[in-house]
Amino acid sequence: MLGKLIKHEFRATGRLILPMYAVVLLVSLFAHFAFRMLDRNMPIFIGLALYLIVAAFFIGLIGAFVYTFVVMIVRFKRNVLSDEGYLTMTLPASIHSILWAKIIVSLVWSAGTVLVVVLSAVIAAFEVGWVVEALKDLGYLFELFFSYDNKASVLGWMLSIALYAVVSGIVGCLNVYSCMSIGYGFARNKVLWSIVAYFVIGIILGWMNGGGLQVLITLNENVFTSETFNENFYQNFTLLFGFQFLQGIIFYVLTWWNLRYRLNLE
Amino acid sequence: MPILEAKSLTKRYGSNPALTNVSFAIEPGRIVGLLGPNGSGKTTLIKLANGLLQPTSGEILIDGEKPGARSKSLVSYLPERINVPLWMSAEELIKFYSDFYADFEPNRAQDMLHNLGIGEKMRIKEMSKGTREKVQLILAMSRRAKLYMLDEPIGGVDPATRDYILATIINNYDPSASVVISTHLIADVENILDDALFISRGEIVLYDSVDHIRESRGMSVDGLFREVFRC
Repeated sequence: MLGKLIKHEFRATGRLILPMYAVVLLVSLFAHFAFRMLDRNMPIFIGLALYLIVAAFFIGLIGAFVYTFVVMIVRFKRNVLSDEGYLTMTLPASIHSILWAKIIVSLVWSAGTVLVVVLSAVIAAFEVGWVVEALKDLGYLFELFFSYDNKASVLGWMLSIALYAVVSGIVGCLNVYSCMSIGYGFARNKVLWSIVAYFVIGIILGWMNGGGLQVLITLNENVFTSETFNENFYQNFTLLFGFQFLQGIIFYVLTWWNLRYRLNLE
Repeated sequence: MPILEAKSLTKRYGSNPALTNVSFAIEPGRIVGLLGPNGSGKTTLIKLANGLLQPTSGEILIDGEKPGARSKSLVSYLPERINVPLWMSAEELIKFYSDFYADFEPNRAQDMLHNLGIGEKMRIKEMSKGTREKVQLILAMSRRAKLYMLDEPIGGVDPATRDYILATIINNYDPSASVVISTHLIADVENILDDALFISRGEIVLYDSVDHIRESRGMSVDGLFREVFRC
């Protein structure tokens, strides 16, 4: 059932996300030529048009993330908490499956947006001096990695960071879902209550994060010096990861519980 | 075993009671009218049976089980609101239902759409309110479910459409299945009902067969409804 839910989730959101990817990539192609023509002497209206393309490109890069985030929120609201919820929540699927389908698909689109934004930046700036330099530096990094004796530990750090990024993505997603599930459990002012929940949870998390950092500092007084951080990478990583994981569990249980016991469709 | 059973079922919204100590059992093969004025608790009862609400106390069972993934595969639910994604076409909705419900018969749905002249490629958002309701009914009645729960299927539609909807229900449900129709338009549904369940202010005031009501009270179900719920 999870597979079917994921398939339909991709269809429902893909029709909104994929055109956005196409637009961002297309604008980056225009920006590629605009960057090269900016230095030349042009009539003022052409110069203005070039600057507008460049501005659209930069707005598009930031807008891509905002748009992906908005699609994630609107999809959850429409498909679970509004009229479509009468269909979604009566499918022969558990709430866990419904929730995981949304989390997985949101995560994939978020990763996709990162890739598209990076690709757009490369397209727009290709052959521009700093990109060539950046590519050279990347090559140098690879050389350094392969000449390093302890490749396994570097690989371990990279995988740990990647895992942390994935878990953080899931937690971010669940943070929003849990707040919406709280807000939409109320009879009136559902959006307002969702926002209130977001800020209240944000404040509580702020305190918890402060406490988490305090634990790290107590365990290792020199945690922020790079040498010490490298030495104790896994100890610190486990703590950070564990804290993030704990938040995820809290958000997940909150969302599940609200959808199970406080669902309040109009 | 009853297909739908409520045992001392109570539901409160805050301090407001929506259902109070409701108990009944619906056997397979019956068409039951869930009859009551607006705000009597009909929709709450149907939502509880579909797992969209949780009881404050007591329990509701579908084929002996509490509402969950399995019970949802047995129940075909038609809510009073348009619940299908508006961006989808009728054809896409048929694929969607085929994917999720093993008992869904796409050919039956296509035939009914064709008979009504509704284009399969047409998106739901391009349809009139009445056509959307018909598509939703067609999807619900194209399942071979054990229990159909239809919440106000004829509310807010013209008399001709009412006739079509009732004919669709009668012609498409499996006789071994049960149908629960929630409505306050008694005269329109009376002829197709086996049983009538009167609900008032969250309490069951009568649950009897339509034939017995007519024999014992000497009046139609509609007449009895007007007498019971006289303002």
